[in-house]
Amino acid sequence: MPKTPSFEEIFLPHLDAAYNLARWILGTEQDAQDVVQEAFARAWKGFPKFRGEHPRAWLLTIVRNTAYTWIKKHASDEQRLVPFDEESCSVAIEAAPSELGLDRRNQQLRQALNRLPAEFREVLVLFEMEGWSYKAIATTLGVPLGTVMSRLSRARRRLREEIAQIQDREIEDEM
Amino acid sequence: MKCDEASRFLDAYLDRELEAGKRFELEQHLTGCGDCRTWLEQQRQFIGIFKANALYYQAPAELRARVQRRAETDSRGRKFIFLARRPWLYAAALLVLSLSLAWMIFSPDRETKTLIVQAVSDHSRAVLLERLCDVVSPDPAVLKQSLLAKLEFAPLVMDLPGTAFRMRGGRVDVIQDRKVAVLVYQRNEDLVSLFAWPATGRLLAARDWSISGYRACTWNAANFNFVAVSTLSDHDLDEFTDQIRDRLK
Repeated sequence: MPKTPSFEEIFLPHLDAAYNLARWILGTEQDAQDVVQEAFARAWKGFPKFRGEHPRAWLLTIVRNTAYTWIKKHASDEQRLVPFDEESCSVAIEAAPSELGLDRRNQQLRQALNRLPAEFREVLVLFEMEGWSYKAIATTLGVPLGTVMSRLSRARRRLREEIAQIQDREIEDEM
Repeated sequence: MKCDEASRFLDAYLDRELEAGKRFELEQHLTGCGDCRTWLEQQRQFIGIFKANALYYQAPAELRARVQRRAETDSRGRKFIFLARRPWLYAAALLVLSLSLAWMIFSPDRETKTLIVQAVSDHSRAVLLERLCDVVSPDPAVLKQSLLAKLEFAPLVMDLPGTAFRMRGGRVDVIQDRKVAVLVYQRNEDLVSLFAWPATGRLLAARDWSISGYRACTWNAANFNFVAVSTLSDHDLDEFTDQIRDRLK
């Protein structure tokens, strides 16, 4: 008789995805760790109701809800809420201007993403990094498909603007 | 299909998420429009940066260990002593406390900042969880009546006919332990939350803020304090606040 998979066997493989989403929504490593731990605790409590379908989506839905509750609760600790990643904001420019290394592009992109509102970061993470369909995102976010479409498109437009600004500033700094 | 309509669908087209009818219309437009084709190609290249970049955060080993240990403990049905196993939490709490203290001492307008941060996080959360409006109505009289029932003051409720801002409804929220009215407006895809409450004692100065990618604007008028929060550009948010100020005169 096949053994029923345990909580761990089902959800631990999705720990990176849970952490990645929390990390992008909250902006700092410490906050993301706390939220993921709490989300796993909630998932554990809700486990009896879990019907065995789409564990990753189920877990990520809990992660995002936990993250927003957490943000609300900690809204008065102002430093925390401004998800400005110190590491990625102080971009060290070492490469020659001609060779725009992958590392630096990566830095620019991280920095630009951190400057977007959470609602934009969230759809970008789910679509670009998790590879979800519009429909899956709409279900998890509880919004119409058209909202996902326009939010994603606006998110990319803002991201392009932010990257352009960052590049302009770096060029100015180098001059 | 015209260019402005096409631009709304280009992303979904690239993502292969456009339904067949619209896809056909868009392809028709693209054959005859060089500008849109160029834009599409640029956007295709831009989206490629996600594939080329290592943006994915891996869960730190200590988190993995904690979650795993917790799952094991829970499955054995034993109680988990949360704090005792996390001595770093004390250190973190201490750090937060000292940061807050430093902030209190060195920041002259700490209270306003806290307020803005709360308003921004409230707006963000309402948008993300789709809990923008307790009352959905474009009618100021209806909205005022419904909000009045939940508040300890008579809210100022104004729509903005003849402008790009459509009133969607409102909700009641708590900002700094005080119930406030929140009116929700929409301009194209962008939403605005307008927080308003009677200014008892402290008046909010007129100022623009930029927090976590959102723009916020504070001011006072008619003995009320106002905070507008949105993803609108500075220019568009200014236009919004000007319109509201006009209605209050």
